[in-house]
Amino acid sequence: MSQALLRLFEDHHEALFRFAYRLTGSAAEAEDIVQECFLGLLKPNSAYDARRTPPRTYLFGAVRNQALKRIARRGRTAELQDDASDLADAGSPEAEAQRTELGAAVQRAIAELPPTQREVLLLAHYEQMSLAEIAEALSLEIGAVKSRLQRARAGLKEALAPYARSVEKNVEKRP
Amino acid sequence: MNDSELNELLDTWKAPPTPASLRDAVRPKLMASAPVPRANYGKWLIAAAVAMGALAVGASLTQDANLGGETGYWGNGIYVLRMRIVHPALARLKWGFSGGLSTGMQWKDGCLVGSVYLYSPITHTHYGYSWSARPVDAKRYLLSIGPLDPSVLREDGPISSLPHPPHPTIVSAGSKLDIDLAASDGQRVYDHIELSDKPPALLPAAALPNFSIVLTHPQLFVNGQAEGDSAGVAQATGRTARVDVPGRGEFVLTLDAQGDSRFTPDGAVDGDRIRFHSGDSQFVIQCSDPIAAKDGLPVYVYFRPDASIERVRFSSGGSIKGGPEQ
Repeated sequence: MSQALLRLFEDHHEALFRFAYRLTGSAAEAEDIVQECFLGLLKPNSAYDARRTPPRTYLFGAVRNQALKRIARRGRTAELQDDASDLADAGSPEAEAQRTELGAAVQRAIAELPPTQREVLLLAHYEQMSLAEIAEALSLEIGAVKSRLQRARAGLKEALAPYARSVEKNVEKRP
Repeated sequence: MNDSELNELLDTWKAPPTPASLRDAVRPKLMASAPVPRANYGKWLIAAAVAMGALAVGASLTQDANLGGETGYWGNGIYVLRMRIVHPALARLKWGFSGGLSTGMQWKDGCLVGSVYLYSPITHTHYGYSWSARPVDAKRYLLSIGPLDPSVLREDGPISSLPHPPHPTIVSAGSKLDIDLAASDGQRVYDHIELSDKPPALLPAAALPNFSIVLTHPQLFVNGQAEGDSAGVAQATGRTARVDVPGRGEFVLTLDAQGDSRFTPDGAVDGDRIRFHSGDSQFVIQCSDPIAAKDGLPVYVYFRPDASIERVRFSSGGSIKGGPEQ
């Protein structure tokens, strides 16, 4: 059993961390959330039922629930928690990229989305989950997922319109 | 802004790399985990059951099964063990219910001689051989395996020739050989023979198939009087046992007559002794070890009169079902 859990961890913990980070805006909280989710599988009263839910879907749902609890507890949304320490510690090319103006603008725009739209967008765009998977992870109808995703993308297009030229320039620079 | 441009913008927001501390914190706990998510219990139990079943089936297809055998003393410090084995173990379902006979051993014309066979009540065929062991010197014998002597048969039916008759060979303590009685369709019934300079380990009754009779150092008492001992057979095991009684005939004993009407429940197993009666006579076979895996089992007896029998002899074998008187 431990091998199966280890495999589950290796397969999914990075994506779960990214999702938790983008929901909460905090790498430290994301780490705690992912840890809690995996260790929660070891509890006898774990709600995980392999017969009903694929593990990936279950884990993303669990991370989302944990993130919402933490967000509610601290009394604010994950909007624009400028977790500079996380990024400075990371020191990776990705972290450097996030420091760019575009990245910060995207982060702010996503944080300003309604939570129900934000989580759908994060799963669909950053984790490449299908509408059906998202519906299962968030306990929604596929139609609701689709409409939330459409509204989220529409809102982001509007919010990020001033940066569209930057994107066009980047695209033009590509070989 | 079109969808591609939006996607391009969204991709500029990078998440930090997963901290190594997450792996360090979680992996050891998962590796040490014994608890299983509740919903997985059934799956894992089923998997375990399937694995155990597969192992059992695999074992039955690859391992041997013991049908019984004999141990005895040839003299000159040489002991012999003969075990009848079926391969694969699953074939015991076919061969384990066969009858058969071992005549034990006797001296004849300067040789130890005997015959053993397996009798199939289905095909009414005999599978066996007669053997002789002629002393070469103080420690060696010339062992010859030949066609089954038809005079020892107790049932009608043909004799199947040995699939791989061995050549005469010099044997001594430490010699081992296998003699095939039947080999076909991936199944093999054979006698494994070992010679040693020490008494072979005797098989406990519990190690043999259900309803096996194990006669270890048997002695026969008729109406309270000692009639004779095992005459060189230290142990005879099998689904049937046979005792020859001088002036009377042969008694074939079994704990499971399988509906064979020739056998009547005339006795019982009581630890290391079997008590049975025939006519007005009481018979007791006293052994040195337990005779069956459990006590209190009824003993079914088939008596075949034969006034020509001159001495007590214990052996394994004796057919169930398909005999001429059935």
